[in-house]
Amino acid sequence: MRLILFLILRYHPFLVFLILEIVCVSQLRKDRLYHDSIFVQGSSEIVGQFRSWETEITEYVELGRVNRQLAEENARLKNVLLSSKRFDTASLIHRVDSGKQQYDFIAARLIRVSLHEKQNRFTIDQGSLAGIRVDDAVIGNKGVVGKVVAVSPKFATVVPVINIDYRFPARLKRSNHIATMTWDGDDFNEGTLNDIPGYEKVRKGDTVVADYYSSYPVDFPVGKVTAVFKGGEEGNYQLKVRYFEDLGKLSYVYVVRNLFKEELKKLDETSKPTVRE
Amino acid sequence: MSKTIFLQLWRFLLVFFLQTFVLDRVDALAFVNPSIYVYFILLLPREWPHFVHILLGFAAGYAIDAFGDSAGIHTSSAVFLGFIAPLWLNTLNQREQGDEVGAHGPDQLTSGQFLLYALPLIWVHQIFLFSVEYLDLGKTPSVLYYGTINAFFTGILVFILRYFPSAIRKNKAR
Repeated sequence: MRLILFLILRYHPFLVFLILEIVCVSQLRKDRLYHDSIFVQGSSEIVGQFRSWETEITEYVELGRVNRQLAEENARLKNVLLSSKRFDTASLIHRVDSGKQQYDFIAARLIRVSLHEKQNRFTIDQGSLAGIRVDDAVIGNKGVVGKVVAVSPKFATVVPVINIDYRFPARLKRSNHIATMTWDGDDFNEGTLNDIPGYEKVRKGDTVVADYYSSYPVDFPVGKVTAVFKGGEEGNYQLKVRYFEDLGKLSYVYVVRNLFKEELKKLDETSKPTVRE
Repeated sequence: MSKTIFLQLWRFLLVFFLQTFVLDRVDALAFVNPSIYVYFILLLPREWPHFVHILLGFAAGYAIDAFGDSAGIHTSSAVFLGFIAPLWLNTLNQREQGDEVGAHGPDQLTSGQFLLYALPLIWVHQIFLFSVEYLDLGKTPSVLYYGTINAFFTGILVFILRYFPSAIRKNKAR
């Protein structure tokens, strides 16, 4: 209190000056249109500037929510897109379940990512409560990402394509030859497509896509051939494939549920004895 | 004390009439309108509290505005002058006399000291006045130009008022 009193006494001429200047300014505004318009214009600019800063801050704070909304929107669009794809293919063969959706997409955020180990693991913020199951495929906007290996109610662990233990069937789009994609543990941007027969015509730039037998949607992009090596006794090719998806910059992924998976599995199981016979 | 008050009152009335009934009505040079009322504020006794200088500046400016239809422009710049004049005088006194603060009031200054005291204040007052008049940074050159010209004429008038009567008195004494 004493300090406040001291400050007022010490600086009171300035306070008097300030108060009287405010009186003058209000007088000016009242009596002169020019001055009033300048004050109005000035205050609009200041208020406008503050509003714009406020909007920028709000937008920045809400980026996370907007990202999630966009990811969910993308998932919905993918649902529509790929179910119609199924409609087209099925309609050529059989129209009984035509239009039925084959894939369901669940948007998820990556909350833990390892890129520099041999057995990399990702963790996503959606689990069994969102309908995610073990073996579901995980994709990004540009290409494959990995496969779900463990699920808790709210989270799931994903084995990405950059794990030396993970392998999945893929094929060259041009020749339709099926082979196995693996990762040799060096560069997290590149994998290997193994054992392409030596008689196949392979070129740099060929596209590699997911095969029907993988968990990924059929023909979903994997990567592009960047180098061709001839190796092994049988003279087979080994292809270096650069993944379309930049795993180092991923923040959102989509878990793909193949709605026909159980049906296909049952079909495979029932057909086995017949084949044996 | 009462003599001092009467002297200030006399100065106030003098500058008020000069400003309102002479200078504000002479259109000899369109953009030159000296603000002679600064004479009253500049010569307020240094013994009077600082806030009294500001209040009297306000009163002088308000009177000029009321009659000149200038809606607060002179009031605002006179308040500003009332605020900075004692500070400037203290600064000059400190420079001249070391730690002995404020030994001279404006009335005790020699003509050279008064020149150093009054001219910068008149110029700053005029610049402030034209800045308030234009309220536009884009017109800074005009503010500086008109401010300086008006400060020059105001300075001449202030010096005449300050030293002309004593010069006449000296002549009569001879």
